[in-house]
Amino acid sequence: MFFIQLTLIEMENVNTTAKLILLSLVILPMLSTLALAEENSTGALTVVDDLGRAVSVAQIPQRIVSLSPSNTEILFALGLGDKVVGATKYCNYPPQVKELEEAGKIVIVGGYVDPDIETILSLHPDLVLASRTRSTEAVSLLDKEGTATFVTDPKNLTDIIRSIESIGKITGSEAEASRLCDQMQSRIDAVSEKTSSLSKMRVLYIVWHDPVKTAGAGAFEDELIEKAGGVNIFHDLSSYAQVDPEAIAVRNPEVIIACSGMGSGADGPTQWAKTEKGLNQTDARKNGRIYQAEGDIITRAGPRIVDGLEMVAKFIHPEAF
Amino acid sequence: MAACKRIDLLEQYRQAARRKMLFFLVLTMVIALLAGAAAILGEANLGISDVSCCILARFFPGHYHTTAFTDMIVWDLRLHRILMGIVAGAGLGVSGAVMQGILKNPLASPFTLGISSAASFGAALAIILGAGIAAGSWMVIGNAFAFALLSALAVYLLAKYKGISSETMILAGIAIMYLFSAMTSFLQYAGHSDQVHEVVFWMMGSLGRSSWDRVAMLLAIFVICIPYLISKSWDLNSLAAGDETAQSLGVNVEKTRVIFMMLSSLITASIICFTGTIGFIDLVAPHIARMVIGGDHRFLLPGSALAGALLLLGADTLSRIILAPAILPVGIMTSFLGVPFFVYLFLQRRRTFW
Repeated sequence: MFFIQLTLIEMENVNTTAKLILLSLVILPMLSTLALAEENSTGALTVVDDLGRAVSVAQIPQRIVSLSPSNTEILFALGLGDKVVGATKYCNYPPQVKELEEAGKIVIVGGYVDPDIETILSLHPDLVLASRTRSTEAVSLLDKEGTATFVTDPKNLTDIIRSIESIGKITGSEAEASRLCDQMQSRIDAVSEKTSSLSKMRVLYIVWHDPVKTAGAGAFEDELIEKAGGVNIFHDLSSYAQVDPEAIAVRNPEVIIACSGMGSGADGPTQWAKTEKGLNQTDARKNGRIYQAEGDIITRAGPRIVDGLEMVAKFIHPEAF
Repeated sequence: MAACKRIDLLEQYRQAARRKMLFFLVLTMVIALLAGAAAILGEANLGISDVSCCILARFFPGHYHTTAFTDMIVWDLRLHRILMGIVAGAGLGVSGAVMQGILKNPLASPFTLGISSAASFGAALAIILGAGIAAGSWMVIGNAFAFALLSALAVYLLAKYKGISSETMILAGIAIMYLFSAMTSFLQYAGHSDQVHEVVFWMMGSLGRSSWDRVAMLLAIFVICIPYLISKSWDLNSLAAGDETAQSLGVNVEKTRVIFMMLSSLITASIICFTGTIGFIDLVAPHIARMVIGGDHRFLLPGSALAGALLLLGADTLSRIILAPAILPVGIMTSFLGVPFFVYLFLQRRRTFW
């Protein structure tokens, strides 16, 4: 304490240039230990990915291949859309992705489970963004070929924000990434603030109706429900599970949120929730509290997960929004 | 001496008959008990009196009283599912026994004859391309049904060129099966991930799709088909002795084979369009029955029906309660339950059962 006071007094006495030097001496080492990204004189970047591997690129990547829809969404949100040269056939957002595909600027490299390694390599990417759960084999093959492959594996909202930050670092768009992450965090906080004092509603989330599948602890949907001021009636299950409709009737949800995909059965789950006789006596059905949520928004680990959170919060607590 | 032998034979026959009756009686009782247990077991903590009052309340509304919640659990969620398990299991057992009988092959089943894979293709066509013979929610069901029958017809036409022997029918069936599975894989390759999931779920099979209407529809088909099949079971017996023997006994071999094939396909198609493909029961239920009561089709057909009903109802009940509130796909349970029982019977019997 005494020492700090002394330095402060001393600092007042020395001139401004000396003050600056002193400040930078304190701050620079702090910065370098905090930041995962290290940029040396040649512009090379090294960032640790979600598999704990240090991934290096020689310069800011100019040709990026994305192996999951969420990573594609992140790249476009960071304004790197013009650097994306390859994506999966499931990458459908933002709409420009499809336009760029038609214009031949983005090449489809396959699905996320089975991307075509030859196609990826023929694009000469200087960075491949993969997702752990979906492209494990592709990652080890690309590693062997010496292609810089950065793997994301977010498990919750905090992880998603962190993965956006690290993608920002490895692509040299740190400023954009931190702006985006700040925005996301403040929107999440706003939802928490509005719903924290409200009663916890019992919520059922339906992934699919035939057979009935729901999301348990560990799924993004479970966290969204909780953060939106609800309680997932199947929080005791882990990840995605097939459940007995009778268990739904017994746990009596007050709100039902049904997932809609892009496929033919898009409103199948919603129709089921609205018509299944075995749900007649649930509060959600009696009060007409059955909603439909677009699956892509609430299950993709990208920037739109916050849109998903706001949507779910509006379903659960319409009075607060 | 001769009289003594006569008595022995009669005694043996009576013993065999008693054995068959015992098998029927025990299986019927076990199914009834299991159905009762399945009506009581579940997430909702209902007691025997709650459930029985609730069931009786529908028949005697003045005398018995129940709550809306109990009524929903018992009538809208449990009972039709239990009946579906019994009816579908019985149907699969019978059609498996008939196919094994007409083709004289222990591996014959709706699966090996391409019927299941054709139904899956029909469902995939409706799910991924939205193309089907019926509209709306009936599209998947209608397609599965139509394609299952179509594959049976294709097997028949293919076999007709080479003469309808059991070998040609099985070969034609296997060819059809591979064709339809390849086409399903192609559709899945072309489809969106959501649609692919939907096809996979459909193919897994589940009694979760049951409803009172569907149980009634299945019952209507079975009431017509199964008594006819059982009444013609002498023809199946003579086919088992060989085509020539059957012919010399006055059986029109080709016609019989085609009629049996079509009826068992109709039964299978009507089941799997509502449940998805539930494997194993159609193959193993007839074997279980055959190992206990022998190969006489007059008894084997009803025996296979009972064994199939018991297997499917038991598997579905276990799959509901074992990991509650989560449910295991019923196909996994049928194999877990059926295989050990099958192996036990298989090892118990010294002589060959087929």
